[in-house]
Amino acid sequence: MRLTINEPVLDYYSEENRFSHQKPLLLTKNLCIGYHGRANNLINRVEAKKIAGPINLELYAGKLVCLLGANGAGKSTLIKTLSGIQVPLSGQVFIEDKPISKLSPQELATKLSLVLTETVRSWNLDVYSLISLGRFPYTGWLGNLSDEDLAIINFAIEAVNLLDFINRKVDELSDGEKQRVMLARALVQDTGLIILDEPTAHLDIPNRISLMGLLHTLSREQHKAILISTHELDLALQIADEIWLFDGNGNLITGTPEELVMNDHFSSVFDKKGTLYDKSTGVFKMNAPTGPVIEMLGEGIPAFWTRRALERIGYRVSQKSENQATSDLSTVMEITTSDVSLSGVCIAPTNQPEPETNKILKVSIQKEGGNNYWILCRTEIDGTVNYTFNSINELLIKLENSGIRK
Amino acid sequence: MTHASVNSGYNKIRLLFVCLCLLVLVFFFLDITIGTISIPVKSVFQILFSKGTDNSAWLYIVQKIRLPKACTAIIVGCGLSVCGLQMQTLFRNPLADPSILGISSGASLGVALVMFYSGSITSLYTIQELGISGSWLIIVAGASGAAMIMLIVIFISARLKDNIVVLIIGVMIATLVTSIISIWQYFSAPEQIKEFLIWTFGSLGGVTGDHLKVLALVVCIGLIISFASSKMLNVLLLGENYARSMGLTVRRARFLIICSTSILAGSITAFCGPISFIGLAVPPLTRSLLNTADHKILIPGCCLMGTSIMLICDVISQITGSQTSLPINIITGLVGAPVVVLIIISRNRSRLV
Repeated sequence: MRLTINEPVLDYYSEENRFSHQKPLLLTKNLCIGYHGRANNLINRVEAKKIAGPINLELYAGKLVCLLGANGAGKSTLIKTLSGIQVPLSGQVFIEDKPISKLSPQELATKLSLVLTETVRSWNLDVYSLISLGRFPYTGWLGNLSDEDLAIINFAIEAVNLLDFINRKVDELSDGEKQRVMLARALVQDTGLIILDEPTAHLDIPNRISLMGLLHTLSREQHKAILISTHELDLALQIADEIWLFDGNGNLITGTPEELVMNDHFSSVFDKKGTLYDKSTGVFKMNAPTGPVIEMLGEGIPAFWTRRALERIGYRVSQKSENQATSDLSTVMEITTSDVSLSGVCIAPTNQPEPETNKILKVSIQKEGGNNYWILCRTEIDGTVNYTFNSINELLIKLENSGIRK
Repeated sequence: MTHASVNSGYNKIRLLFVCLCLLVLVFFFLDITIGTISIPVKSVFQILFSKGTDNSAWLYIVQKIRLPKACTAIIVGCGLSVCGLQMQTLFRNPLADPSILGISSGASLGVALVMFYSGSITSLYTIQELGISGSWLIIVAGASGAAMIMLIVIFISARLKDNIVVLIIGVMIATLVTSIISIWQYFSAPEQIKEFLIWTFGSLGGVTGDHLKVLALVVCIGLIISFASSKMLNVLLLGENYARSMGLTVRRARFLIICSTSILAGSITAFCGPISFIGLAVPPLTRSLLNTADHKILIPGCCLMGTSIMLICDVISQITGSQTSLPINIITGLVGAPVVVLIIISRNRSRLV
């Protein structure tokens, strides 16, 4: 594979260099996280338990980092330790070069803001008041807002696109809107570092994507350092500048998303019985197919979804590029009586000598005409017979009935 | 747009405050005018504003009985409703209230202990007998009893996440304390028990002269502390974790709020008996009337609202047609319980919509 590095990529790296001269907003030195021993009741004692460490991390302004890991790997504990809620077992956390234990709550609140998973339910609190509470560390003893405070509040409301909501009560908002309000409040707190603990947990998919997109924009435009703990692997891989990944054995692996995928860190952490991380497509699969092999030719959206359908019912699909399928395509095109031109997927015979796979010799073509999928299938079980299918479903039924399925 | 809407909100609140002040004034005069002995309205006003009247009995009744009683109603109304407001925010529970969480029982216990050691029994009569130093003693006893229970409830609530459980534990502690008082009552003479029972009905009438001044001073201090902690209360609306992340020293804030709550609930309970429902009913009413969650507005709002309700309860207790007035606790219960039920129903309905 030839790797071309063009100008924008070079720019990106030079920016990277620039960051490395900056001081990190968040830094940990040999941090070990876990639970301290304490008396559970009068008789029993909970022993101290190390979850992960030693961890050495750096987080710079303008960077968006996603913290990933399986359930129980230590994501929440790390978030709590980094934000000063929990005391580390050993090692230190530095926020803007100062150890977090030396910062008063008020000082810390001007450097680090949090968005937590807990939902806010409070009577009569309207969105505008809630967002203005973010000025808490800056205002006097009665909490009166100066003109500067008001300007920052209005700016945050616009940045998070909440102008239509400011007079609504917090209780009336949906979960996604609430998270955006809490994020606006964190922005109003005017900190270099924002930590979000599973901000997308209660949201539906469009809201998840829009919230993550918003965070991405904020890290770029407001030059914030943003740390998100999340279960959204797909989204994290797409937007994170860096991934911090708990491997489940107490180590934290860091790197760009692409590195982690290509170096198999992802699959080693998330592959369990019945799940498989597919490096080539970047998605998780429920079960590795074990059935007969089908060679599929073609590309594009129809090819992708046909492949998914075939894999779901148990075929191992090996995809080939279209050039390799040229001959087959022409064969099939001769057969076609349809007046639509053919392109797209061809599911071609396999050469493997296993008896089951030999049953199918040619399953074939698919194309997009109007809103329909056209799938042509040729098999050599019944001799050379051509089938035309109007949908993926018909193809699946045919495969099932013909006894090709294992 | 932002500024305009915020300003119009403030104008509305200002108007509501003026209305509430007028309401308080009206109820105040109503409370002084109406009583078991009928005195013409004209004479009452003459006594209040020019002290000229021929009837010395009327003069005595208005100046020594009705005026102090109305003032006590104001103090109790302010104190208990602000207490309730603070506790509801601190526990993040709309049902928190001094009487429900056992704070009033704690104050009773403190008062009862003082009376026990001074060889007497808690009654309005003995409070008056003890004089000015006695009134301080009772306030300290009541407030420390209240603080003790509040600390226990806070200690437990820090370990439990569920507010309903905390509430149940508060009720249990209240029961426990009431049992302790009952044990002591059981070994007391019948007439002493009767006096204690009358004290538990609550009364605004027993606080006069120097006692009134002491109570007013202490409640003022409590109110100032709670107004000073309004910024903390506001940020506590988001829960302790958020409050901490936004720079609040939660332990200090809790301490301040416990202090002012104990001072308010303890001193008022010591003098007037455990008065129920004011702390529970006034804050939600004020919140929905003023339509805000800002404690800088809610605390004065609760004072005015609590005062109006306390005065109207006192007026109702006197127009029952008989020669004697009903105990204030009966009226606050009659007025307060339906109000709470209405609030809960309407809130549930609005959540469904």
